[in-house]
Amino acid sequence: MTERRFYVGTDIGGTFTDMVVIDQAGDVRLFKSPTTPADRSEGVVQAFGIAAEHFGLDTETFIRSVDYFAHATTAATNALIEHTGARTMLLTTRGFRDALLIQRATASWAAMGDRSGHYSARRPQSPIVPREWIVEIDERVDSTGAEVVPLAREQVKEAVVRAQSAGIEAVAICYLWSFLRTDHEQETAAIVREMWPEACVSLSSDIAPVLGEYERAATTTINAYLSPVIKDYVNRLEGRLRGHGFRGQFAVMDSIGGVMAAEAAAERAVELLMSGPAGGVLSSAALGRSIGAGNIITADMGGTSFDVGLVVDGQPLVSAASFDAGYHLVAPRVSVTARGAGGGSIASIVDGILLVGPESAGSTPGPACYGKGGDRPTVTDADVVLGILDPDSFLDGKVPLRRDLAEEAIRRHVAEPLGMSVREAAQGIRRVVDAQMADQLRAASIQQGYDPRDFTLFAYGGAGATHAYSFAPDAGIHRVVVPYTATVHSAFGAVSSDQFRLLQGTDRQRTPAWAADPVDHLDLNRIVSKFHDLEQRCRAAFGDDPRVRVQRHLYFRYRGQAKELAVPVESLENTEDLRAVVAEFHSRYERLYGPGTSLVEAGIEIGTFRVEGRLPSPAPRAVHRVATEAAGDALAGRREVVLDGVATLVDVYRAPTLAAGSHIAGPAIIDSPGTTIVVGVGQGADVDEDGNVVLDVRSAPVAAGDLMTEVTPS
Amino acid sequence: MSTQQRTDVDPVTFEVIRHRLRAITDEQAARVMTVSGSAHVTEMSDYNVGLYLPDGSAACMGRTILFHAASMAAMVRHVIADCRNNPGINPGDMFIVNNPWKGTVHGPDLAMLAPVFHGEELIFWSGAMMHMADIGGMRAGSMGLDASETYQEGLMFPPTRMIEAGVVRQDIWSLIMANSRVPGATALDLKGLIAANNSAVRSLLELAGKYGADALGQVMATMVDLSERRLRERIASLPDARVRAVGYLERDAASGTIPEVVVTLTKRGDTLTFDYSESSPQMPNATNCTESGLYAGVYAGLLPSLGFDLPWNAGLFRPVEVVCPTGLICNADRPAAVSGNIGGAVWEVEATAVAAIAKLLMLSDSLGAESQAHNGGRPASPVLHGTNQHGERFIGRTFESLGSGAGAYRDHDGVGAFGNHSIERVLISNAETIEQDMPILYLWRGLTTDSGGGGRQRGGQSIGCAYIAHGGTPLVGNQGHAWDVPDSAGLSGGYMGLSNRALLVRGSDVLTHLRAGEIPEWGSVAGEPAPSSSLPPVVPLRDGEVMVSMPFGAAGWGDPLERDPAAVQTDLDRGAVSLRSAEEVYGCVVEAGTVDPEATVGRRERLRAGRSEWQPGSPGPDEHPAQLTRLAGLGDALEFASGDGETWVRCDCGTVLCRAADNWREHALVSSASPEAFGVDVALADEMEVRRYACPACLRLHAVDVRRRGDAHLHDVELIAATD
Repeated sequence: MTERRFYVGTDIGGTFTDMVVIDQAGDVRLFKSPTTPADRSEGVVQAFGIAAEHFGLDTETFIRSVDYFAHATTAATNALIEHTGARTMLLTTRGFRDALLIQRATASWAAMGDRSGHYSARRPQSPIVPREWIVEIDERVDSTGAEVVPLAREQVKEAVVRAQSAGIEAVAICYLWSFLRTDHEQETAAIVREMWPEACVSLSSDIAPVLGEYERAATTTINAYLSPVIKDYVNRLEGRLRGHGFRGQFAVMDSIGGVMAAEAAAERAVELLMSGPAGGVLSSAALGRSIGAGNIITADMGGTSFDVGLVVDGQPLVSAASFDAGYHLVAPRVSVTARGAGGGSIASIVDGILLVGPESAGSTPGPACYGKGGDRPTVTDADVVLGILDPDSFLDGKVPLRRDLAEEAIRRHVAEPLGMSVREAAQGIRRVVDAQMADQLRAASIQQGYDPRDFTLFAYGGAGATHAYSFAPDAGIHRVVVPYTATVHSAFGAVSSDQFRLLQGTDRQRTPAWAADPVDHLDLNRIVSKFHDLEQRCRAAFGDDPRVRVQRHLYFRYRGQAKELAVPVESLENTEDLRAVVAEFHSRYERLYGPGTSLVEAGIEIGTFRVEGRLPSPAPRAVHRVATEAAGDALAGRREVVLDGVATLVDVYRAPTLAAGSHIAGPAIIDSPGTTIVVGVGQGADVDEDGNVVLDVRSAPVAAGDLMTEVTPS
Repeated sequence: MSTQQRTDVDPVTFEVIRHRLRAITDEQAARVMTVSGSAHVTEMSDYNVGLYLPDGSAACMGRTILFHAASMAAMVRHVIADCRNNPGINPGDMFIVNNPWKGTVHGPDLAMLAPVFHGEELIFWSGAMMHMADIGGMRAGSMGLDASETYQEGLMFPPTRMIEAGVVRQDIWSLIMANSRVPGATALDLKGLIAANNSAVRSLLELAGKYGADALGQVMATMVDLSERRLRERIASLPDARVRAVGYLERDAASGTIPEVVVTLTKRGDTLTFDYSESSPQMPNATNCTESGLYAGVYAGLLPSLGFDLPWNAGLFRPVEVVCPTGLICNADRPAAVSGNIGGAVWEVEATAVAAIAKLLMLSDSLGAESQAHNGGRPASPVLHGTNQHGERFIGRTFESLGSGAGAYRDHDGVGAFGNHSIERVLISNAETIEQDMPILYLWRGLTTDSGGGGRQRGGQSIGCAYIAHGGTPLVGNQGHAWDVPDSAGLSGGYMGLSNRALLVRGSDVLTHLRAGEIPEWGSVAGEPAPSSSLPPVVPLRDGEVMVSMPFGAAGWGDPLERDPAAVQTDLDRGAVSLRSAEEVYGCVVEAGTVDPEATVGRRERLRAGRSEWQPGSPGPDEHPAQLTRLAGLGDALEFASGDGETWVRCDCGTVLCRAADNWREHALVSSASPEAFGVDVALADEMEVRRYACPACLRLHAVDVRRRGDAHLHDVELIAATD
């Protein structure tokens, strides 16, 4: 008998370190272990220990049997938010020192949310590089890529000498128009590396080769700022695992399409900023492909955040620009809109109106029912009062909840000020937060040009499945999938995702307004050769592995517009092919923004080129099989739950014992380790053979308006 | 009083609907930004959106240009009045308006307004508007600052039905295309406005289907009522008072006069009256505004200052009355030209409203932290046009001036590159975006040293730039504003925002510098700097010339000699202030770039002592009660205080300057020395002066005003006794 081999994915979250283990037969096992904030690698080793125990192995034997370890990490995000990155110097074109500080004049409002109208509360973003370490160099390239002023090499050398003696650890280089002409940045980097081999150097023409000096500088500077941190982090974790005998491949989840090797992670640290959420979206896309759901809205609801992503035709939606910790970045990433609304969101009364969030009780002190000193009512408290969460089985009973404290908090802060019963107030909190989430689902889809009614919702995270039955139909969604891996979904994404490399480039071409055929004005050879160059570099990043699959995208817009639209490029042999790509742009544009919105006559513009390379994960396809016969009595009992304002005695099921093919008619509760799935009145749930729970939520909760009168007074 | 008692909608449903309405407004904005084809919209946020009650009252406003937010409500009312009977207002219709006498501020600001019908009933209006790149007229960009009549300013649409039952009227569409210099961008702009309304109409109808049109209407109406109530409570918490502010405009070339906008704000009970009757008559140039601009200016001033934390909607306008006869610069009659009023009368209406509100807020110790010196002065952003490096016709603006600094507050410095006060969420484009479409090359684009006005709290810096022609010869329109008079007023002894320089350096050696491998600072190139005010309305930017634009920074708060020396050090390190300012404005002793705190104490004492030489005012009162109680604040160290039934103006040092009814400035030491003499570099017309007022006893600076020579001292704050 061959030795059993394992493939492991982890996601190191704020509270828990999640782990997914797949064996060579594809069998999946899920584990959770507390995160150890002081040294997160400790928590990972502990999780390995828990998994080893499950498999009846000692930790070292188990780790030696692991062929592949891929993980999602918040290390980059934490360093950026906590401002604990490296001391960084930015070298930039003379005259443009302030570009990073001005932030296109958004610096005082971009992070303010809805409070941007409160002028006296606005402050500049605290700079990640102080102005004294933004060093101007004489050099200049113009908008056609022509050199206007050559690089002042001596000034670079002076800056390096000064930086070395001042304890600078990383160098970012961002010159104007460097994405058209890279030699000034490359020469600069060569000087820096020659004088100072150990410095971490980031070039904007590598990291973010797109138009726009501010976003390019921000992305490059943040990359430099995070590089040494990620290098240390990866070395520490990998070293620790190697020390326990790990001999397999070590990979890190990026923010867009898959995993990368450890050394690449240090060089492209900025790509790790959405590592966790991207893992969840990617594993949703993969699961969607196997269960026949091509259009997916992902809803990851945890204690403090609600992240929404989009998968269209099986492909995660990618945004070229994003906003993170006060800065605008142009590293492409899976499009995830995040809000600080989760189980910990606090309810309050202002002017007689019930507000929920944006204030959050976080995980400390947490909701009132945690009994850790929080006395303000949260969404989780409402769920406890309504009977939706069972105080004794929360997180497998590891965290017993105090219903009395939840009731007291809601009574004092919501029920009494509004003259309602505690139950009515709790129901009100749910309605408000669920409506906010439905609004976010609509915003994430409609604002991108998609209709939520064409999508299946994937609900995961601790609270996603608890609320989805309500917010999904509110947004017009009919089907909800709670993945078997819902509570460790990002870790599953890490282990199952492709190895991935994305390369971008810019070569702008535009057609005149009112041109009869825009294609006449585009230079096909230039397009072909740009793609060729990117594709070669992409393949080289995989050591020219012949199994690599490459996809190409060309970005279009109508002239004068800011937002580009990516169009996939298959064949590009002749002008007919190019004409087909342009036609695809027009039709995609109209599909997204509505018939009649496109305007060929305005002229079109191509700019960004994107090439993606993929190699499948070495992990076998997960084939978690649920028994077709119930393993025990899945129906655990009944409990009184208030759903949509009506107190009802509902059936309570235990997920681990549900058989494949089970159908559950709502109202019902499915208690599962780490989450509670609610099946609403008139809704139904089916368990598929992989253990995913599929909810038909077409029968929406009772329409609003007269609900309050139906509530049984508590 | 809770909401429940005034509406049938319960507090939970209310919040659900309110949140959704907010999201619908965000969605409108996303549509405009995505579909529009003009860089100043897609890259620079010059647009806005909103939802309106059936009568045009604003229920939800977008987050960009505040002038637009207020003026769209007026346009809806004009559409109702002008179109109700003929051609009618029906489902699927949309109306365009850009007539400044019908609600818009100036012609380029064009709105598309859509009635929302639920069955037969008109339940709301959706609106979207933007600054169009060009709608014809005598100058590219449709802003002829040298226009003398509005008929020179391009196409003008009174309320016009552009979409009938969901179908665009081709004749009107073609009319616009035929008149615009940039039809491609204009077509996409119009499509963006249509798309914004389509999304709002669809979403509102969905919402009405779910909760009922009545519930929606009630929620909107209640939102408006709530904002009104909270603003009235806030106003009522302030003492009754009459405050004044003055703003000066550019010299009118024809008449040679520097016009002014004057406001008297009267606060009684829970109401405010802004009276602009004392402003100058309308001018034969494009600086004027109509009633639309007057209201837009007042409302834009009010929203972030008094309404800083309240939901912005029509409720905030209900306690406000605006008074101004027609024929004045801020309520002009036809055929006055108005296209240049954003940097003209509208700007000054807003600036004076903000200044007056700031003085009102200062009276309250609890709201005093919201009182703000004014943001950066009028925007100086010329229209560039001509043929670009690609051989194509172009029109555009660089718009650095949108990112002006914020005025200082009592408790903190003004923020640099904050954005104009009238734009909630400003965005300027990258230099690369500009260089790819315009034949220019930037030498510098950044925060301007010394642009923030001096003060205990410093004003925020504005963004300046210097560029040369590159790959063509761009034609540069009128540079803009404020060479004659600073217009960003300081508070409590803080200085006005500084550095209003717009120059064309001719015959420079800039190309020699570049060829030598060096990007020069504009100040270090040889050549003759010509102030833009001396140039014709449109000038070519030729090789070897440098265009320099450094719009005003924002104003400061408090006596600059009281600024923490450590803060001055930080300012020096960051290039926010020059060595000269550190020494002369802030009185610091600087050795090798380092402020010497002890030596600074001595220098400041000497500078302060120098104020005793200033012109003395009338003597203070012979006698006053020994014990006075603080009544209301007049700044850092000046207050109204009462005792024995009378009220007085008292300095922190204990000196009583005068009775409350008198103008304390007449009892203060005053200097009208040229700004140059006290270290301030600011352009100032000959007939204007900067007056500084100090306490005759402790010599602390209490006010810095810009005044016309010979004018009486501004009596800016009077309390209104309960018996008045």
